[in-house]
Amino acid sequence: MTSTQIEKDNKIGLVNLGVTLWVSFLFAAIATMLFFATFDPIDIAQVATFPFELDRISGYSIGFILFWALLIINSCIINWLSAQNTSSMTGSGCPQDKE
Amino acid sequence: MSNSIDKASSESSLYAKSEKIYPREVAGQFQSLRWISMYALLGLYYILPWVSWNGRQAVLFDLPARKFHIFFLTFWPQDFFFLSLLLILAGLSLFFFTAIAGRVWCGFACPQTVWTEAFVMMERWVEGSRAQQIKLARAPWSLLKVRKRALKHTLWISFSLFTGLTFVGYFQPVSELFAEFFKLELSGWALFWVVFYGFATYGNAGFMREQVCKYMCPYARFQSAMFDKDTLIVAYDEQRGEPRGRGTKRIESRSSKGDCVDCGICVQVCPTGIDIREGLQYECIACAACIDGCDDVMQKIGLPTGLIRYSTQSQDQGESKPLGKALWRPRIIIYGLLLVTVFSGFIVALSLRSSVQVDILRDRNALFRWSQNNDIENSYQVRVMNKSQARQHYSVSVSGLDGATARWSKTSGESLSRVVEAGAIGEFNVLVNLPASADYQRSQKISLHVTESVGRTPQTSVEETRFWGPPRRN
Repeated sequence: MTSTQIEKDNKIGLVNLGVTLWVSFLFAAIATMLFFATFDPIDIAQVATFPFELDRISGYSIGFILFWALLIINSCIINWLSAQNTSSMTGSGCPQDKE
Repeated sequence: MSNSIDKASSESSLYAKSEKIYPREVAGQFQSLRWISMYALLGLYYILPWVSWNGRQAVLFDLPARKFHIFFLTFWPQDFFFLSLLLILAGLSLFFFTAIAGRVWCGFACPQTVWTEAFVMMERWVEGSRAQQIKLARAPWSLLKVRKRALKHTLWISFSLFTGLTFVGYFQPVSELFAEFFKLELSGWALFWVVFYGFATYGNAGFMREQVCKYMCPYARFQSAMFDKDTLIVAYDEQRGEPRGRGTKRIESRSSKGDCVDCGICVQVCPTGIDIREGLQYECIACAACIDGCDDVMQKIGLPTGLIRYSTQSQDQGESKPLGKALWRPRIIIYGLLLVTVFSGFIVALSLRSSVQVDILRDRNALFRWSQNNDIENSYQVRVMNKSQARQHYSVSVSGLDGATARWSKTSGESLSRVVEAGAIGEFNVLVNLPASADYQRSQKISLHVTESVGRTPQTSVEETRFWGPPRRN
């Protein structure tokens, strides 16, 4: 691989990482709003299989981070799979595997 | 052959490591507009949480209490509908203004642009003009460079933390938040979100800048769908400008040259680093910095301004339409009508919004019981949500069953009404009594009416439930 090729791949990898994080962030925010407008985290914690103490701010924060993590993983796998499908030359796959 | 070389070189430039863009400082009417817009929007953002209204923070999205205060309005999770309407309104406005004036949002109002502008401003305070910044970046590390860089990042980080704190201040009381932060007592999630949002500001406005617009912004990609021939764009007058030329050659062959002196100012001032002379590009955020830059140069060399200007595609093709006619086109009318409809719907729904919400739960222990004076008695748990801005005394009555009476249960006091503070929820018991001699069925639908005491037209919430009696012997 030439150095420009590596640079190019790194660039795509970084851009992909940024896009993945950002789009996942947006939709995690929407999901969090919809979910917690419908359910109160305190109630959820009480009716959980293993009930636990949870204040609302922690509930919202953990909920948001979970949604975000889920969406990031989801997009990474989609990125990776579709890059594998098209061509190993152009695709960089999941940004994480570029390290 | 030459074609393929061109292609290869353009491709490699496309993927080259993105160079930091040092936008050249510019002055002019559009830059003034951008300053005004920046100060107004940033001012609004930083000051709004400190405004109070009726003894509380005017704008507070009180997540722990699950209610949003916006001046005289309070929204509950039940009002999620209004939030969706607001989002739809925001989207429609974006479409509407994009169709008329192109990417005004991107150039003047987008947080990414506004904060980047503020960060560029701080960068200039510390590192000086564009040329000085480039010189500093190329210079080897020295004490001066370290000092300047440290100062810049200190400014950026403090501003970012202030931004993060203000952001969290929209979700919890802002004065306590700032006090805790400066006493270093802030902890837990509040601290996490302050740092998180601060870091996002620092990264986005300090480093990623135009790359957010180029690679991450969905709007930048689909805004062209709202464009038509009459949408305002920033355009270079190619007919007048070309062939461009500079220096002495220009003076020698004045007659054959266009007005563009190829000074490159329009490229240097561009925050996304494009050359507007190559035509409309999706990287262009329509900030109009190149217009100001070019006008300035044209004035200096004694040529008419407007070589780069706000224009439309049809204007560029030589059509001249009056503004009224240019605005009167289906796209604008449809977006406008939709906007007006949804907005009036929003206002109507908001004004019809009930100020009291009642949930009724039947007592599950017994279907009915006999009261002391031999009436049939049913007991209900009633949750009253006071969505108004005043303390309310609620009275209760029943309909749908002749002879039945409703009252608040004695266990929580003797009075005829129950008090719920503004924005609070009260849980009470209601007893419905029916003389045994009355005409009733084993189970029938009744309605409980809960009426508030304060308000221009005190509202009543009517909720259906069931009333049970003993089996009748016929």
